[in-house]
Order: sequence, then structure tokens, then C-alpha cells
Amino acid sequence: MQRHGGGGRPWEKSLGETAEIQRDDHAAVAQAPRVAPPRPPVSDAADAALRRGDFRFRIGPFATRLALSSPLARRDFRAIYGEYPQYPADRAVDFHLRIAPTSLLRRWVRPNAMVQAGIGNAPFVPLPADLGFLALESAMNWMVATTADAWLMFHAGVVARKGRAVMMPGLSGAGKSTLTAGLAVSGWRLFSDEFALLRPETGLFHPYPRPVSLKNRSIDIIAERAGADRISRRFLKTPKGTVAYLKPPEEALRLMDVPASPALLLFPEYRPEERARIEELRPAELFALTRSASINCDRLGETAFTAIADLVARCRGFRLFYGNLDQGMTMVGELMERVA
Amino acid sequence: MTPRGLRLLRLALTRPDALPRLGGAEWSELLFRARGSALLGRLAAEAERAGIMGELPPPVRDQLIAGKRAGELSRRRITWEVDRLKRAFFERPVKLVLLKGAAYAAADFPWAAGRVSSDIDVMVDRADLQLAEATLLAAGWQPVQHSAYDERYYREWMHEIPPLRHPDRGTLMDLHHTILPLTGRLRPDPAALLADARAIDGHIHVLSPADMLLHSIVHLFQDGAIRGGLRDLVDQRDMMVHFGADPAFWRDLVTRAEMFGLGRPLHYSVRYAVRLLDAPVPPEVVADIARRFAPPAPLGAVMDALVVKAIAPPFLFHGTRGSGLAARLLYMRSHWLRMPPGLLARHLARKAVARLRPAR
Repeated sequence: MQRHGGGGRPWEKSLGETAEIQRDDHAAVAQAPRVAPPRPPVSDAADAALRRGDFRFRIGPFATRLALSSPLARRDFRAIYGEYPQYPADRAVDFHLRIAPTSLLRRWVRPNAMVQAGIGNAPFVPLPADLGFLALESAMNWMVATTADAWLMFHAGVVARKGRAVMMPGLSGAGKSTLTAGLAVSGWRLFSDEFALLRPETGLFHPYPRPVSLKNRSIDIIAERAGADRISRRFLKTPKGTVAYLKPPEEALRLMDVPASPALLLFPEYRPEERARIEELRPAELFALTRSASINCDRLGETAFTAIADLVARCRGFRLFYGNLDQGMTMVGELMERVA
Repeated sequence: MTPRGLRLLRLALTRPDALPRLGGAEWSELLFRARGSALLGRLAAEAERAGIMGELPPPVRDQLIAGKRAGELSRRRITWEVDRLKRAFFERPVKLVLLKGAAYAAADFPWAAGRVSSDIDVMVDRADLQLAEATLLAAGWQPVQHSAYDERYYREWMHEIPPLRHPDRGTLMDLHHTILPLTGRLRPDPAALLADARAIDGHIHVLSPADMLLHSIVHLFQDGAIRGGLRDLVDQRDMMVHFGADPAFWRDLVTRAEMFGLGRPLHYSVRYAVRLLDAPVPPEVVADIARRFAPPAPLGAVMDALVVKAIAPPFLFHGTRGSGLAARLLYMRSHWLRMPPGLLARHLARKAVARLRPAR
């Protein structure tokens, strides 16, 4: 049995990279110019609950109980998650997370932020304190990816229109998050930019509308379309460069319990130097690509195999090569028309 | 007094039909602790056996479904690995004794349902060790990379060779030639364990019931650090329930414990399985074991306090009052039991120096 879970998944790699880059960049981060944090909100009940670890919120099927010790992380959290529903204290939660300095000393000297989740050998590493919010985001990714095996999960962006969903798997750098974000702010309903959640019993995709993580150049591209007020502050010098979060549109949160049936499986690749084109995938190829995008098919065994076979049988699949966001979005729209 | 987390787990094991009445906050804590103790699959198996899955709130049911799937995955892997072992040792006259999770699954004991094992443990006679190791290497297993010191630590002092890993399947295998470190205070005779092992499939064996329980016990109370060892205590309780149905079992157990010098750990296991998990051990057996093997009263009181604090993982949102200290003390105890003082001092000094060097 593998002591560290299934290897080679995209986020594990990025968590590994996180660890390495953090060690190297620690000094640089400490000296980096700080972005002025948003104005401190007045202290209130929610802030106190977050500090005490008595704060619960829900995103799609997953509820989290959370403690954030750093005031800056609490401000970031409330600026980005302020529109999400809180979760009643008398209901069972899925994840327990506490983000705090590794020691009392580290609250003041070279302050850091470390995730505690009650998981034995989770690969969490301390981050500089002003990246506390990123520690929370990567911890939630880890918890979902390693524990939520009631779902068949794919590393993919998902959006829907008229109850029909498009799943877009993609490795980091394929432009999956940007394309998902672009569609999400142009009338498509956002399900997720990271996790496609398929219920094996029903074959439906369920929304998990986390804030969309945008990197480097894509921040400006999406800010222009979404409005600057929908984008978080920029987190500089993270392991992935500059990162900012897009707050999901109001509709995505309002309808976060409404599933959709799969219609399209798209494999986008951002290739600005190539001719834009669409290639339909044959069933066997589509099955293989879809399977390899799955996070937990090995853990689900036959249940996953059957669910992926059903999914592939009900969808058409295409590879997209696109050179800019508008082109990519147009392709997705046209393909959706074609399968309607 | 039993802490609340243990009370909830005990309820789940003994009265699963009462689970639908738990409140959300209690479920959160129970699921958190079950996951932290690798008992989520076990909890799911109990809920399924009691037929109450449909009555549970959806977030609870989903977490139990995930736990159940983890148990099924572990079972599939063990079945496959045992099959590969049989193939590798086809026509090699080595008696292979599966230990722990692999044994429970291969012998299809009821408590194997939902149990997650991280690796495969196999014991052979020390005379067969070289042949067994060579056979595994020939079948594709590879030594996990480690330092020359680690190599010596395992080969000279431990009860197993350095772990092997299968590169295609990622499975880890521990090959044992006895059940406790060669350097420890207690040195049960491996020949007696092997002689009593029961064949389940060709030359695949499992330990006899009494030895199987004693092995789990030494793993937790003699060789292990106890911290987070709740799952082992649950296994022990399960064996007490299952094997204890035969009255001869208790007599065998005491005889074997006496013979191997494992009376003290047996006393701890029975005491805490009864006190913390309501194990149905006949009172006269509990009293007899205590009379023979209990430690002096002051030491017993210290163990009572430490074990209760350390055995279940602390809940993230409660104070961790004393559980860290208790765990550290028990960890020190496990090392003390493992090696004579001179060797222990050298080993710890060596590890401390290694820790100061930058990791490669």
C-alpha cells in the first residue's frame, strides 16, 4: 500500500513544489514589498468565531469548520468568502482546519502559517504568514482530493448552461482556470475550476464553486471582464508567482446545490503559436483521457470504471487548441450548440 | 473517566443502532477521530451491519461511504499481494506467516471489514530469511532506500529486515523473523509462534488465535508508542470478542503470554479494552490476568492516566490538555523497552546528529 497516497497527481506535485520553493524563497518573501491589506473590517462576531475556531461554512457538498489565528488571513478570508453561506453548528462538518503559526515564537518572529487538519502524513508545509489564506486553499484542495471518495473526482474545470455541464480537464498551465473563469463571468454557471465532482449513483456533476485561483497574466484578463471588485488582493511571490482569487458570481453560489448532467468533455490546450482548431476524440481515446484526469478512480475501483464508461458514453469529447481567451470561449459555446 | 471521543467510538462499536441519534457536533467529532485513528472504514462497516446508513444525514453518510471504499481498496490490494506472494513462493518450501492486517483479511475475520492496512507484514523462520528475501527480490520487490546505519539498525537489532517496496504496485512489505526487536527486554521464541501457526492456503499461514492477539498487543504496548494506537486496541477487542467465544481461548492466551513473557502487555490490553471499549472479557479472566501480571500500583496508575490521554488523537478544536506530554512519555517508554540503555543512548545520539544535518 502506498504510504503517501496515489502519486503523481497534479496538486500533489504542486504541493511538493510549494514545499521546495517555500524553503528557497522564504527570505525573499520576507523582504518582498507587502501589498497593503484591505482595510481592516470592524471586529465582529464572525471574526471572533474565526479566531476561536467556531466558524463553519459550506461550499457545495463540503462543510468546513475553521480556525484562523492571523488577523490578515481572517481579513483575506472574509473578503473572498464573505458571500458564502455559513453552516449551522449543530450539523456534521466534513473538514476541520486550523491555520496557525508553527509555534508561539513564529507568531512574531518571521511569522508563518501552518495547516492542522488531524491527518497523519499530510504534506503541509509552513507558509509565510501573509500567505495564510493560500495555506487554507491548498489544505481544502488536499482534503477534498484525498478524502471525498463518495464522489468520483476529476482534476478539471466545470461550467454549465441550461442544466448541461462541460467538463474541462487540464494540467496546470493548460489555461483551464482562465477559461473556466472567463466562461463563469460570461453567463455560464461556475461549478469549479479544480474539482469536477461526479456522483457515481446518478452520473450527475455537482457544483463545488470555490473562488477561482488566477495566476499572473490571467488576473488582469479576468479582472477586466469580471470587474475589479470581484477579484481579491494579489498574493505576491507565491510558489506559482502572483495569485489572486475570483469570487464566484452570485448565481453560482445561489445554485450550488443544483447538479447538471454531463454533455461535453473538452481537453483545452492554450497554444498561442499554433492554428486554433478542434479535434473530436474517439471513444477509446476519450475514455483513456478521462480516466487519467480522474483523481480517485484507483481508490473507487469498479465503481469508477463503470461511472467513467457511462460518462464517456453520454458525452462527446474534443481537444481544443486555442490562442486567446475569446477564441477558447467561442469554441466552447459552439460545441455546446452542436451537442444541444 | 473516559474522554468523550472514546465514549463516542465505544458507542459506535457496541451500539451502532444508536448512531442515528447522534447530533451533528458529535458526528463531526466522531468522524474526525475515526479518520485520525484509521477507523473510518471500521465505523462504516458497523453502520452497514446495523443497517442504519440510510438514516444518517448526507454529509455523514458520504464520509462513511468514503471510509468503506478505503477499506475495500485495502482488501483488494491485500488479496492481490497475497496472490503474488503465493506465486513468488510457488515451489519454495518456506512457511509464510501473514501478520496483522494481511492476516485478518486473508483469513477473512469479521473485523477485517473496513480495515485499512498500510503495508504487508510477513514472518518467516530466521533460517529461511535469506531465501525469502532473495525470492522477494527476484519477484521484483526492491529495498527502500536508506542509510548504512539504518541497514545495520534493522539487520542487527530489529525483528524485521529493512522494508521492501514493489515498484509497480507501490506496496510496502515488512519481512519479519520474530515479533519483537532482538535488543528488547522481551524476546518471545519465534519457533513456538511458527510451530503453532495455522495454514490457510498452501504455505500461507496465520498465527494461532492466542498468538495473533499477543502479537497485536506487543505491537501496541511493548514495541509501539501507543499514541494514536486506538485502532490496534480495537483490533484486540475484536479478537477478544471473536476468539473469546471459545472458553479454551482464554486459557491458551494466559499460557502463551506466560510462556513468551508477555503477561504485562497482555494485562494492559485486557484492562484498556475492557475499560475504554467495553470488551466482553469474562470478569474472572480479567481478575486472573491482573493478579498474575499487573504492574505495581503506582506504575499502573501512571499508565492508566497516560494511555487514556494518548491513545485517541486529540480533537482539533479542544484543548490538547496533556495529550502531547503523555504521548512523549509513552514514546520514551517504548524506546526504553526496545533497547538496553547503552545502545539506546548511542542510537538516540546518532539520530539527533542526523537531524541536525540538512536533509538531502
